[in-house]
Amino acid sequence: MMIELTQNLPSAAVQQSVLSLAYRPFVEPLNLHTHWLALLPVLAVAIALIYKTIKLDDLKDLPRETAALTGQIMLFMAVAAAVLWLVTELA
Amino acid sequence: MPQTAEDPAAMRWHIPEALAAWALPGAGHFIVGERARGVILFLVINSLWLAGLLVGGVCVIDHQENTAWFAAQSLTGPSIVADVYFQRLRATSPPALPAQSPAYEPSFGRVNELGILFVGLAGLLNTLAIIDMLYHDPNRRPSERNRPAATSATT
Repeated sequence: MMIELTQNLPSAAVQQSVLSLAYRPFVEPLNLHTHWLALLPVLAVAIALIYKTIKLDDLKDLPRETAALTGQIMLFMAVAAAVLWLVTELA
Repeated sequence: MPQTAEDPAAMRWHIPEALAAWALPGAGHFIVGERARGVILFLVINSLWLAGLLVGGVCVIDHQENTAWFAAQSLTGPSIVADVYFQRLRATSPPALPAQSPAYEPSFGRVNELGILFVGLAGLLNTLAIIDMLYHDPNRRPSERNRPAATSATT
């Protein structure tokens, strides 16, 4: 069993070649596995900005309206997360 | 006093402008003269689209593996080009040997999900811009090009 496991592991040469790969933007993914939550506010701002850019007749109000909608999206995301957490914890 | 919607030429479907908005987000609004709106849409939608590719890599646009998401992603024209590029990359790349670098590195987990989500949302939000352009009413929202003329007509 132990021999089979070690045979399935990549060799040191393979590991080294994987580690030494040159990063190519837009082709290779970024290593954001521990920071993915920080991307959600960016997403909320982008959604609010695009929606309000199309919706508003006068772009003078764009920053204030975008900030308000971003706040609403973030608030409802937090509420939804809290409710889902409660459901999974209590169930 | 705002102009009433009586100009039949203005009250039409803006199909070429909508196609331009699909091919390059923001281009439709720029063409009809709403330049500030077009520039904002261009910058934000394309930034969202590029951010998705940057986070998840080119494999987040894949009509074979993520068909439903690709339907949303294809609502921006550049996604079609990216998908063709990725399919060619996958088809032409030989299986990576230990000494070789693979043609691309697939993303997994949250990074893959967020990349797909970013590009998909860019497509869905661009749909709003396309619909806005298709039913564009210059009397409801005077373009920057027409605004000085309308102002001078009223004075």
